Amino acid sequence: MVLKSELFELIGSLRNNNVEVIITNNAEKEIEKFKMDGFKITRALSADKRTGIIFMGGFENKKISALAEHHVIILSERDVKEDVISAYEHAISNSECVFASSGPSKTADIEGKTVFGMHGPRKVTLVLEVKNEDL
Amino acid sequence: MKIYEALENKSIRDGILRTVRNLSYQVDKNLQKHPYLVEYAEEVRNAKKEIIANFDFWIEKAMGILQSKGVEVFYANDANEAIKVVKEIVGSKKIVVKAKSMVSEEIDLRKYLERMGNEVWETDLGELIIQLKKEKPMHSVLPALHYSEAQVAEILKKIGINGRNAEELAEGVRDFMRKKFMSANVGISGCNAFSVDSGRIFLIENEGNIRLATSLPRKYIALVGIEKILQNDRLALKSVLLQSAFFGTFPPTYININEKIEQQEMFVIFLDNGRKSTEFKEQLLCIRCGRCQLECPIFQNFGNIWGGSAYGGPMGIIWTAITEKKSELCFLSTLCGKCREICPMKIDIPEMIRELRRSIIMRK
Ligand code: SF4
Repeated sequence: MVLKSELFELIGSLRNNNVEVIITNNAEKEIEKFKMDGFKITRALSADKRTGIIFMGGFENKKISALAEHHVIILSERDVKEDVISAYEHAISNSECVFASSGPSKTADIEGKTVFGMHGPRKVTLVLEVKNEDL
Repeated sequence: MKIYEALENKSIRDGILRTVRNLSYQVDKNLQKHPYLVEYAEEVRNAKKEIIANFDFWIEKAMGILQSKGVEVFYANDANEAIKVVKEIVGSKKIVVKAKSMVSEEIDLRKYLERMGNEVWETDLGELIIQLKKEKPMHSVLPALHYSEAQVAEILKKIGINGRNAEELAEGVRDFMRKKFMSANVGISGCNAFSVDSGRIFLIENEGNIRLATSLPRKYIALVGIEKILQNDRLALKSVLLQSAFFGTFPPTYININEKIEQQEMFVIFLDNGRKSTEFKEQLLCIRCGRCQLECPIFQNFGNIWGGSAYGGPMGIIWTAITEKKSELCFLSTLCGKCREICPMKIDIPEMIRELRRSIIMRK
């Protein structure tokens, strides 16, 4: 697989943030297996390769991003941005009610012990859609 | 708890030192990996200076943009005015879900809403523990850092949650709070940064409770300290990222960018409460990352008990002088200068503590 360096950087950031990453040239096919109870699927507007912050839009999606048990996000390679400000500006120019997530919900409020799935999703999967020639 | 009782309380010291060990190293790592954050800090500092120098102009603009979007906007000169407005919006016999907010601690909001017969829940896990213990937060970001797993298990039994470890306890709170989120009439949050350009409220968090508390209820109230105003979205976003990076948990799991939407009634209350008239203007540059608290040798011994009724630690001594009273607790500072060294906004807290001491002595 030949992936551009910025995609490698994004994947590294996402894994640091405990996000599962699936790379595909056919996101629709990939998300078929997630179409069941507990999974919620959202399309991302953009992501920052340096931090792994993923921007999405729409009020219903915003609620979903906190209510889902397992949040599946589809991101197109062309929406991966150099920095967080570019990613944000790309997102607000394409949608109302923008918000961002960077991983599963977590807390360290009990003795500093990290627990995932505090109030929001226990798991976040990012389906990264790349062009055919990259795979 | 009195100040010298705090000194005897080993769990405060242990909790803070455990947190310092976990997070100090993370802050250094964040800055190494994301060196541009230092530039962001400079930009945000300069932008905030401009706002503070021309508060009236920016507040008027902030209120105007919100009104144009259909938000009901209020300006509260002090805590009493803010409480009165919130009480009128909420009414009685409602379920209210709150996101952790230092401004709401500052005006002691929960107490007043409960007195009116409302069921009010702190939805952040740490803040819920503090609510159940009827205490004040021990740190602005990690309010319950001084409790052990076993102590939290005992505290949560009060609301019927049983668990043997952090995972089981968090699971119990998740289930309990989901029901509250789904039935809540009103959601209340603070504001980490406000953009004048768009009227958007930026809030960061890791648990997901702020997203649920501010998007599920039909009514949403945001309390905004006037020093949270920034010129535009770029600066607001940079400010919240700095807050998280300099605390140690970066990137934040959630960035909420709240604005008026059709499905929700939205109310914004700007709070002055001493900010405009203070002689300690430099403190208004604070982004409340909480770093000066954790790194301070005095805070490490006393926790937030070293401070006023809401704010503690180095920043809290000055915030208390702004919003409450000039406290003689400032004489406990060693003036070691660590807070100034590590502050992303380069706030000279030791100099303000000296000034505070001078004015207390002159008063006597
Ligand atoms: S004074 Fe500085 S270090 Fe302390 S909370 Fe404010 S910004 Fe952070």
